[in-house]
Amino acid sequence: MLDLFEVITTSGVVIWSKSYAPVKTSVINSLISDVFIEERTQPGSDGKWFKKDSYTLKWTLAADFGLVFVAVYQSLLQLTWIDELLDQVKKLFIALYGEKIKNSKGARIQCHFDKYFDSSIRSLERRTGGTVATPPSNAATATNQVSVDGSRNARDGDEGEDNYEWLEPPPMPGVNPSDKTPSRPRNHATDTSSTTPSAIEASSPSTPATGPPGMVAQALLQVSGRRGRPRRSKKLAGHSGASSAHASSGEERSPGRLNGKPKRGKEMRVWGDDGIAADAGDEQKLDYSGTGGMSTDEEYDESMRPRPEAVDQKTWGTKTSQGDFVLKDLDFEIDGILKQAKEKEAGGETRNGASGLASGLAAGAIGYFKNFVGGKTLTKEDTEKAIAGIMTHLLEKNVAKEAAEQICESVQKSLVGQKTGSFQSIESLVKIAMEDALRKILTPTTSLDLLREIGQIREGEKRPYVISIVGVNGVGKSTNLSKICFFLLQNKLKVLIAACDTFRSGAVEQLRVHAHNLKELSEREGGVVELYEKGYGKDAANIAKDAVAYANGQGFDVVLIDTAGRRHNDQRLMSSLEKFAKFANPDKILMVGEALVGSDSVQQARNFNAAFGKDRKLDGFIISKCDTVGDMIGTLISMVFATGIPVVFLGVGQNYTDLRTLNVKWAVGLLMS
Amino acid sequence: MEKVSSQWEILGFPVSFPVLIISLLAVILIPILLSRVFVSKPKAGPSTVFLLTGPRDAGKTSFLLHLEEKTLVATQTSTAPATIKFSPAALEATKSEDGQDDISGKPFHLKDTPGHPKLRSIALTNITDTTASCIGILFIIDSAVLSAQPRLTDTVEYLYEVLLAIQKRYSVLSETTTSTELIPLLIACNKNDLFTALPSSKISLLLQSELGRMKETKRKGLMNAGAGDDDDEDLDRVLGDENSDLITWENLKEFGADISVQSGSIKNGSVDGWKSWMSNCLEA
Repeated sequence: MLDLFEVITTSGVVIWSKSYAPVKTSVINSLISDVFIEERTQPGSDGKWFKKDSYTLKWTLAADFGLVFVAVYQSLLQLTWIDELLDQVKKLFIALYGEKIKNSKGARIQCHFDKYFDSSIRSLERRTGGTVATPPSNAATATNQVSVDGSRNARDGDEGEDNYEWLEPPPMPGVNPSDKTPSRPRNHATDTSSTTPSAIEASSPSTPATGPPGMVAQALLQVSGRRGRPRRSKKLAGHSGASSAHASSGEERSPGRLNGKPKRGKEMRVWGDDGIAADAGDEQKLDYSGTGGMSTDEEYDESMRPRPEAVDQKTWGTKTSQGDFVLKDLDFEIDGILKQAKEKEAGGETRNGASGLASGLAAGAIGYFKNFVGGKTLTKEDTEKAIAGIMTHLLEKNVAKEAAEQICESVQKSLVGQKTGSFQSIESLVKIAMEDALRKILTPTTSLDLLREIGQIREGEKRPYVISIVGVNGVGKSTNLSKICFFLLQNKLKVLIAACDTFRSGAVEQLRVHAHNLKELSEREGGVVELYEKGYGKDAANIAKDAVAYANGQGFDVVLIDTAGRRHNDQRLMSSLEKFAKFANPDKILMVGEALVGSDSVQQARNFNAAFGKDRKLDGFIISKCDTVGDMIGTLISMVFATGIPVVFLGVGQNYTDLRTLNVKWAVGLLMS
Repeated sequence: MEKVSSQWEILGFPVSFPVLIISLLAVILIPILLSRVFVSKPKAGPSTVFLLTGPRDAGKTSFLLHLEEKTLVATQTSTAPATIKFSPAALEATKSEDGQDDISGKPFHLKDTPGHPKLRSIALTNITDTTASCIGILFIIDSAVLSAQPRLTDTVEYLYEVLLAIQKRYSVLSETTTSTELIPLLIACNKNDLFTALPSSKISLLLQSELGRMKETKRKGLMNAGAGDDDDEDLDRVLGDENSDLITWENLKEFGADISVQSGSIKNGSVDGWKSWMSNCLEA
């Protein structure tokens, strides 16, 4: 079962929600911040679902209204109709409240959507043969009311029909539902011969064979609406129970239709008001019923039975206005809305084709002017060219193709429906949107103040702060480690360097030289640096663990762990990182990536991010060799975009002082230049 | 002769006076008319705007809706700003025992901004943009989570950014105009109905000391990449006094921020203090 359904505005207001079980607000909050803001999709989800705790979340967006529709359900359940529900609710909600939301400008609007939602979900569930929202007790009362005839009818139907039977008022006693089989083919025939789509017929299956007078009238209306429409187009109806219900309702209505012509006129008026089935003429209907009725002998027999037509008319009117048959009316209303929405979609397409030459030219001219003057509402096609241009630009800046494509896609999505400002070209609009997107990607979500964190750990937990550095071979792990070390020494911290590259010859000696240099440099500043080495060939994880223990005993402030370089797609080498993370338990795992690397950056970042086991991720990137690429710093974007992990440092030269923090404004400026 | 007198020659072509006038008018008027037709009127930003800032889950959107509807409304993380116009009556105390009738004030706007770290630039650019109105800033915080260090760091980081933006706005404004008023900032400690909530006096001290520490590490920290290319980049790096790491609300008055701290709870509806702060800002 669904646990929660919410309609949220982009400004964070829950406009409407329906909760079946308590769900923490943090569940949806994490969807919003992870997927919508940070644009991180969970692996395998393809952006279609989001799992949090034991819940699965699905959503749909109405960008031009600034609405998000979210459905939350238990991951254990396989609910196939959630997508359909979201789509349907979105259409309904926008049709009902769309204008109100647009006019409200951020203010909350009142909406009484519960009944529409309940009705939608019930019909969807009924159709898929799932559990019905109606509790069993309700069903019991329903069966109590059902007369002998009615209950027989209910049993005739399959399970789906059974379900809706609960929701029906009791059938009128004394009316015998006749044999269904003969009339079914006829009904089917009319359906297949029909051409125009209809949503109204969706509710027709819920019409029972034998109903009170009002129901018969409604049944007639449904038929009139349904007639000449393909059944496949229905959105709401339960497929399972549909055919038999059609059949039965068909039989029942035939006598009434044959007898009472004036009644039909009245029905048509009612439906005209609703905007549904108003186009069907009286004669046509008569023809239809005539042929339909003639087709079988049974129906003729049926028609011989007297029908209380006068009552039909009266109850029909009152029923609708008073809303006695709430569900029924609602179903009609929902169908109507959905049908209108569909017509609007279809209408948009046909209008383009049907518009006269003159108006087409005028529209074209205005559109052409608007290209220059502004005020044009963008479609996907409009932005295509500009997006392609900016994508090339990104690729030239050494952004990996995968990342560039996805960024461009999300920028394009965000632009559709926007209006260009006065004298603003599409290109400039795209550029601004791209700047925003890049800024959003690079802006970190956590504090990157290393000194502050070290201070907190020292004060709070009285243990050394452990930083370990990983990366592919030759990207500058040891160099950047010594740069960080120098920066920490400048701040009068006591640093232990642990040489855990026990593989490459010369790695330990290299660190020894660095440690020696740094010691000389920092003696005046008051920093202390020491090298912890255990030679070659030993297990790196154990050395790291020992180093941390040693630092703890000796009162060091920071431990910097250097690791062996490894190729990110070498399973054997990467797998040792998990053990390393467990043994050394670093506060920060920083990955060094070259600014020079091209499209491989995405995979590098992903593989290293995944290498530390389930619960551990990278904490940041150090992008080295930034001085060698000029303004082509696309690697920054690729790596951050692939993982959502911030850039902590940039290496900008060969000296110990050539370490910088990232300035988002500067980076975006370079990328867009 | 008369004919010749009413004509000029432009580039060798004879031009009569009326034709010249008409063509000149056409040249001037057609672009204006075209722009009228095609360009929707640029929205002049509202003139009296309060900015709602603060970290995530603090209650910004809730406060906005509380002013509007007087009840607690369910909210989720915002992804876009929202501006709502209020009549001054919205600031009336919920229990107005003293029948003061000074509701004659101006209507005002309240702009809610997202608190997610990636979207904070919306609020910050609004503050630094001197053409946009900003008569007061409400920085709403969750007073129940400040005892946890990560949340405190997050909150103070944002507060630091906001104060820097205020400082920048103030310095730009004081250069261009003669009389500059301080920008009022209310640190609204929401959720004081919760058991773990800290009192406002304690929060005030906590924030000041934490801001001081943050300033210290920021000064000691590494340079930004690209620093030095842009001069104003360096200018807004340090908050407050250059020579001292100490940050107090009093000291920040020199740098354009008039800070007050008040507790309240949107859930309980005890936000009268915030409301009266807002009406004070409106009167000033």
